[in-house]
Amino acid sequence: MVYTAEISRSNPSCFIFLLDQSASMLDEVAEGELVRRKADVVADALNRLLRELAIKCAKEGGVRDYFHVAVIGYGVRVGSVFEGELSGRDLVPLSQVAKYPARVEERMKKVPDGAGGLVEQPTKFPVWVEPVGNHGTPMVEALRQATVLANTFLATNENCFPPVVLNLTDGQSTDGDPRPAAEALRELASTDGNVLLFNLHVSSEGGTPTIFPGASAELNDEYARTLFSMSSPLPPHMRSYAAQQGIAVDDTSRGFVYNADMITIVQFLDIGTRATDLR
Amino acid sequence: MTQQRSPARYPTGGDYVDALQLPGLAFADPQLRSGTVKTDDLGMPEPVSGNFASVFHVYGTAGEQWAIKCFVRPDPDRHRRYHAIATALQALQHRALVDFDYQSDGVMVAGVRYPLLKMRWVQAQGLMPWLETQLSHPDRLLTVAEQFADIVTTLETAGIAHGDLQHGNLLITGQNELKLIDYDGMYVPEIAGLPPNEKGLVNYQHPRRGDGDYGPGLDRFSAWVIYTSLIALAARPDLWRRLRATDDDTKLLFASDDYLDPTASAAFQTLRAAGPPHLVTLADRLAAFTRVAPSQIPALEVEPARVVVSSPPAGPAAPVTDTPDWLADHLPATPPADQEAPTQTPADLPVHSFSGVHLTSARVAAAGMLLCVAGATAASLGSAALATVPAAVWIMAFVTAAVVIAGSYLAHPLVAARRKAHDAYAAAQQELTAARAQAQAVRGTRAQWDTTAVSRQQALRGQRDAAVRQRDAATAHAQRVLQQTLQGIARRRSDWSNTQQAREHRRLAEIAAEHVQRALDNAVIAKNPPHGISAKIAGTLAAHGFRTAADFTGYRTASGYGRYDRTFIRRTPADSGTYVENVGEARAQSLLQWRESIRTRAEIQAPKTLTPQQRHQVTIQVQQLHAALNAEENAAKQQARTAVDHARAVEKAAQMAMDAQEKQMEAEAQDKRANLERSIVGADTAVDAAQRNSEYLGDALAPLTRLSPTTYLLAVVGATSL
Repeated sequence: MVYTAEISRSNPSCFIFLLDQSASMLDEVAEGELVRRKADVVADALNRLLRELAIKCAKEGGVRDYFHVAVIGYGVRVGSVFEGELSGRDLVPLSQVAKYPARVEERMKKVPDGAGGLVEQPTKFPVWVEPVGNHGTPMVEALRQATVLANTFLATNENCFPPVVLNLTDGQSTDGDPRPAAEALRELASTDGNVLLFNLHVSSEGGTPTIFPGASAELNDEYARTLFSMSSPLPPHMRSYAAQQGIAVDDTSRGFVYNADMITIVQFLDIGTRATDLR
Repeated sequence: MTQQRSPARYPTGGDYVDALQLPGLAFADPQLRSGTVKTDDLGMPEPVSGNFASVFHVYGTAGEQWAIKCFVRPDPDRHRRYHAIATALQALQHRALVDFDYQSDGVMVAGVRYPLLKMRWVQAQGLMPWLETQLSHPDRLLTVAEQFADIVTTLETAGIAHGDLQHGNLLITGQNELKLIDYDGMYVPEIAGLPPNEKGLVNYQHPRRGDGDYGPGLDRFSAWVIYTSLIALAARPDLWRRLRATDDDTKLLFASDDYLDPTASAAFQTLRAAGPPHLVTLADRLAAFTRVAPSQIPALEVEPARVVVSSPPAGPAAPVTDTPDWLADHLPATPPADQEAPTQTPADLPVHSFSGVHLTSARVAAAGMLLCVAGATAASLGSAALATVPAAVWIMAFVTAAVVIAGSYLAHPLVAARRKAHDAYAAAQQELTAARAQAQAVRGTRAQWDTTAVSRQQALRGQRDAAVRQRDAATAHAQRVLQQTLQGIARRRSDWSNTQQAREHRRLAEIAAEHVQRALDNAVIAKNPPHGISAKIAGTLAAHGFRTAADFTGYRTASGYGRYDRTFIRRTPADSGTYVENVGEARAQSLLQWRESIRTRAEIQAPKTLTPQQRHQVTIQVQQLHAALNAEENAAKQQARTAVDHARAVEKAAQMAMDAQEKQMEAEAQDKRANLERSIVGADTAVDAAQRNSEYLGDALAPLTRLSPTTYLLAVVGATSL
């Protein structure tokens, strides 16, 4: 029995997001007519994801703590990006994440009025993660911190659905070879399976994304091969969910995306955080 | 929007939260367009989510409330499904079912219309939170179990199955009425060909439920699970804590593992051991059902459960027996109504009239009075016949006659009766007032007591929440401590100086240093004297303790201030040196050069690699270090686990203690409530009796009130009947 543990309040799981905040994240990337900085795209995707998670876990009486969530940024420093009420805390129960965004933004959104026109309307949007970019890419230290967090969580949640670590990066590690640190992280396990480490590489090149490659994938880039080797195989339920989304996957597919564009980032987060059915 | 790569993308919960911030734009239904969506603390629409949909709470302008279900997964057959389900359920007209309105283009998200379900909002709690507060009310649990069996049987009879019978889909209203919700996975005969679209919550499903079981018997296993759980909890509320963690929101008493091997299942064992016979029977049946194919499970039967109700539920209106002691003193001493209450109606009452000896004497007096009036008149007019008696005597006689009439009136027995009846009536009125006041006082006591009971319940609820908070705080603290320890351990583990390479490097440096030291130790000055050092000087040096190259490290020369400079040989770089006769700066320098050459040679000759044995030793050291770190890590984890287990145990113990307290409170409350109910009935009875008594006396008094002095005078003069 692997990756089938039921997630509940009494048996929660956890998500650890590792967010590259190096200087290159401020590079712009074009997607059709839209030109945005990578840091903006990633922060936006993460903020959306955190909200979706909270909504999925919203039940009678409020958001339930089916998950504990950490967002660790790595750039000029390595540490939790939470601000305000959650400042200084890393793994936080989801109900508190939901309750305490850093701020609630009011965005003017062009909404179709249903009659062929567009109306501009203010829409509220909670923000936890701000776009940041400077300094190097201390990925090894980020993976080590994730290891400590996952290890701590596992100590008192021995039968949980294993922690999922999602690493979003755009460059090579500047503090050493990340592979041993990644391996140490993936070696941690609950009775339901090993910690899952998924890696997403954000491209500014605009090439075709490589999504969840398997054994047969041809990765002609050393860096891509490194990230691929660091990534866990996708557990069955995520594989079938990915397949439902029209993504070609097989038994050897790993939780790795190379050259991700905006849509793929959202997809990666959606599939990578897809739990077995929640209660 | 860029969605070209995922054409099947359906709105997410977040998309609906965005869209529903503008209900006027999002909804098609006019009532919903003008409605308000309930928001959370951040001011955004607040959903309740399942795996298929998010439900929002919408308030209408005229006080109506709806639950609006927005789907997050596509289903090409949705329209057909809901149409069939609506038709089938409408035919049943069961009060546990909730009407819904499927609007296929009900909500617009990012310019695209999606379906929604519009349902009347049911003010109710989920079964789970309801149970949390009702465990000490077995009667209510049984009522809900009965309602559950009733709706299940109704659906079964109609060939319908809900598909996902579980605690989350059972709501209980404030009047303890059961509502069955969420019909997404429902089977109705009309859609027999469609594939099932959900599997149901696993803890309620037969271990072998497959897609082929999608049909009318789909609910049977889960129905037995729920029914058995409710009956078990009614009989043994302690099972709630014994078989579940406080926060467990996945099951009532049974989980999927219990069905895989009932003989090894704590739940089944506990239920059997807990047992009233009817529970054992139910548990055994359920265990047996786990071993047969889902299709062989019989429909839910209520019969075995009927036996269950060991103590009849206390009805709200307990039969009136006797007045409680404490109240007896406060009740008016009116005889119980039905025993001696006067039953005469006004028609039966005697018609009173003046008659008898009193009236006769009055009439004689009246005749006398008339005579006196005539006599007096005649006297005053000087009438001859009557003038023999003076007018004053006539007048006196008249007064006497008047007194006689008045006396006869006052002494008349009817007049006395009237007075008595009047007094009795007034007394009865007072009694009635007192009885009413008493009844009101008892009601006041009950109302006050109800308030007290509610606040005691709330206090207990607060204590329960506090116990959970305390547990969470202790858990969080243990985790924080563990995290810090693990961080320290991780730092040491990843520290370069603790790697094999660093350790080997260090070991090699140690070996080289030892080698050099040995060479210096072995270089005896006398045996191999440096240039300029004679055997004699070597002897002097030895006498000062400078025998080998290892015995000194340097020298210093102190100025002699115009006389001879003096040189001091240093044993360590830091000491001030020792003066040795005949060793000046030149010889000292020679000694030092000699020492350096020995050292340099030794350094060159020192080993440059570790031997396999030495390397192995280093490996063992590194392994020991990691073993020590691992042990430290495990100890820290164990400590955290112990702390968390302890926190959980403390919380559970507190909850169980509060369960006992609540049970006792509830027992007291029932006694007290029954007592007060009886008092109220007693007081009301007293009011009724007093009321009847007063009415009777009032009726008795009514005819007597006609006996006034005027009517008496009329009777005297014969104007009224005798």
